[in-house]
Amino acid sequence: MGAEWLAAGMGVYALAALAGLAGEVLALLALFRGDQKRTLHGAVRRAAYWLLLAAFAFNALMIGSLWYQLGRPPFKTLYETMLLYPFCIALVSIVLVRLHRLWPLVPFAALGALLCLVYAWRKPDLELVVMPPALQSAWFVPHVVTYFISYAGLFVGFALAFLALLFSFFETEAVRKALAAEMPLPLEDAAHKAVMFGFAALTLGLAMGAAWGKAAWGDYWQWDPKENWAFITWLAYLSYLHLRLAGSWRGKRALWVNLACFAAVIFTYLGMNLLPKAVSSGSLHVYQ
Amino acid sequence: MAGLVSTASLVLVPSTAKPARPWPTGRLFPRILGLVAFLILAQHGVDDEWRAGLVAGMAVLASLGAWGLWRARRTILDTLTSSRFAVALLTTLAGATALGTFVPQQATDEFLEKHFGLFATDWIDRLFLAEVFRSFWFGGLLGLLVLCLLLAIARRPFWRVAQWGFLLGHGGMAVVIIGAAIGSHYGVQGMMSLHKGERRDFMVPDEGGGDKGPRIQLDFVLRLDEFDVEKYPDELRFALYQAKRGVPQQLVQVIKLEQAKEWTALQKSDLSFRVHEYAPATGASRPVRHIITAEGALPFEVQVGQTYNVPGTTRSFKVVEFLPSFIYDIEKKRAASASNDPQNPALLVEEPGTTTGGAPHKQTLFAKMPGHGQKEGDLPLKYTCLNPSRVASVTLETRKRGESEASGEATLTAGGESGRCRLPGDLVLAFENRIGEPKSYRSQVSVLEGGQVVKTAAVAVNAPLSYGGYEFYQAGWKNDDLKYSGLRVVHDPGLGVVYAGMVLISLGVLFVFYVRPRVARPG
Repeated sequence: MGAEWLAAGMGVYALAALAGLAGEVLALLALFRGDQKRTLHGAVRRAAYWLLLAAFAFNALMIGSLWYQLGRPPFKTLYETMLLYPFCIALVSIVLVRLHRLWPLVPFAALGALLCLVYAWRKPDLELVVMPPALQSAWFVPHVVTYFISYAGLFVGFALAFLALLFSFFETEAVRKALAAEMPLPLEDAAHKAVMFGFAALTLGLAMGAAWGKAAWGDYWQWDPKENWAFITWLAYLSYLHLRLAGSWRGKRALWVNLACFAAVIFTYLGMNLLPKAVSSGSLHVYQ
Repeated sequence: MAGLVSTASLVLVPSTAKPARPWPTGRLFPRILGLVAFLILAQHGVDDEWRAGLVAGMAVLASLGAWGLWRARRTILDTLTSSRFAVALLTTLAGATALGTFVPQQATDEFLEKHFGLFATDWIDRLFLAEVFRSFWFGGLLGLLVLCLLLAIARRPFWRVAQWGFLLGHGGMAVVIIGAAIGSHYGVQGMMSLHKGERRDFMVPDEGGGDKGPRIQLDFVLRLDEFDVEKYPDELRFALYQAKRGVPQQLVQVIKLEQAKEWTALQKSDLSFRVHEYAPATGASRPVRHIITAEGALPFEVQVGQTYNVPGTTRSFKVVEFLPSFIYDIEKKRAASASNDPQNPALLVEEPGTTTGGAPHKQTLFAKMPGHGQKEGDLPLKYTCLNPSRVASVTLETRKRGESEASGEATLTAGGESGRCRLPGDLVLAFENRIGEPKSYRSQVSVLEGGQVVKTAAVAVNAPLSYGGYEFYQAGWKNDDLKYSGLRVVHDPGLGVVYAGMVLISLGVLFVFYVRPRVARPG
């Protein structure tokens, strides 16, 4: 797939991000002015949403085209997953915006997706990579897709937690009322729901990975660095959920924990090459 | 007896009364780390026999501590089943797991000293950080987690629907760890190596010795009937590398042979190139070609009897003779060729204007031993004998961007030194025959009992054979011995328990998140 496809995808996501950002800025201005009319920022927000939808559809086309070119599911290399991740981010965000009117999520989702495509554009695969025997499994697509859906949910949780923290610094009674009218679901609760969804998918992805490892290598858990960091991510979010559900943590401290947990997701996804290894043999979990 | 009953009631009945003697519920991390320290010392005591006294002392301390724990049992139980302790324990587990990724596991002391230094290696050994996942202390943390989970479950009113998610999730986690412990203790993993036609009725366990012994006998025989490897097709291509002093370091660009028949720009360079002539490996007999490579220059073809300049110098050389299979004739005291087959090709060259003992100075360039016999002052040349029937070769043209005419030429053979040419900017362009990677490998096996074949199966990656309580996985093969197959053999009695636990955890998570909020609470 050529660089022109990537450039087009980046362009649409960039437009969605800009439109989304413009919509939120106009909404904030209207909020502070006490302006009840929603015509302008509402229209810009809807335009941003449709641009995100268009970017999502184009992203799907890119994945489809690459799948056809490779003759296999394009989820093996880092470059290929950098096309899948924005697709999943856009998908989860579109659903949440539709269900809960989480308009501020649109520019974040578009920006996150754009960053992934920029990375893919800067570091494309130099050649078509073939599938080793261990990856030729019926588990490959469900395991990888479930994981990236979970990463997308956790990214959305991160974005909403960030927004909630940001708003908390400017919060007044009037702002709180206006936000409640705009978004029936408070940002903090929306962040928590996104984390719940992401964690559920993470759990399923872990279980699938274990079953696949057993079928391929004879062992469902080998304390491989990637498996370990997937486990650490799971433990981190499990701790957050315990703090929020059983420990009744709310507000800023819960949001900060949410933000910190996302660092584990990023390291699990991108940090494996930074880890030392005594054995030089490659791991199927490390992007070559 | 009364004490046991009262303890059982503490576990089974959620406590609402104030604890008789408060046990500080703060400082949870130090207490968990204290347990870790205790277990590290315990492992040293077990591993190092002369520290048996340490173990005995710790046992005395543990007994004394047990009295204090017994007296504070109510508060301890409340703590162990609290969400705060759960978070502290989960965080400690996460940190321990992270340690196991930052310190290479099962690394030798030499490796650790090289990368971390002597002092750090000492402490890595003392704290068992190079074998975290097999250490007492990590197992102890998992054991503590199971204990907390079971206690937490026992204290919940399991008859209430709203609690089912909690029970499934927490119970599932305990079940997974217990299943893993069963597999670790009672299971066995090892290898079985077979050549085609061979039979095996034993496996070699990974951890030999002890009560597992060097071999584990099976109740049946496995015979390798056939082994085949399917590879992806080989591919001829050009690869541009960013080099360091001529040694390729990082792949920058890949150009397929077909694509290179048109002018193709090279990244990080102002050069373009194209294939001018391509000679595939045909297998038919064709005259050999002689390729000379000099430092910092493109390889070029030479003919016997001709004189050439050494690129980048004022020196020149004449190709005197080609010896397809070089030997040194002791009787005649001169170089000769054993045959016409290029088994050990060598090129005799001489440098005009130089003499050795009155005769022109000669030098022998060996294709299979570059640099062999070279002395100071010799021509800095490398020789490749290109046998076109065996390898593909290309002749390239290069030109600078903006120019229309080719300004350089190079002949490359697929693979090896003669397949590379150095370019300005410390780049190396290599003509490579990329050997196809394995697409699949498969062992056709038969299971025999009492001399009779009871089952036949194809064992491939992701398609193991299950028989007699063992699973056989396609694990290894040898490129230079295609009749060999390495099978991984696993017996894991805890597997079903682990899978059940995973299902329970998944159901529990879904229940807590999506079902429980919809279940009406009584009253």
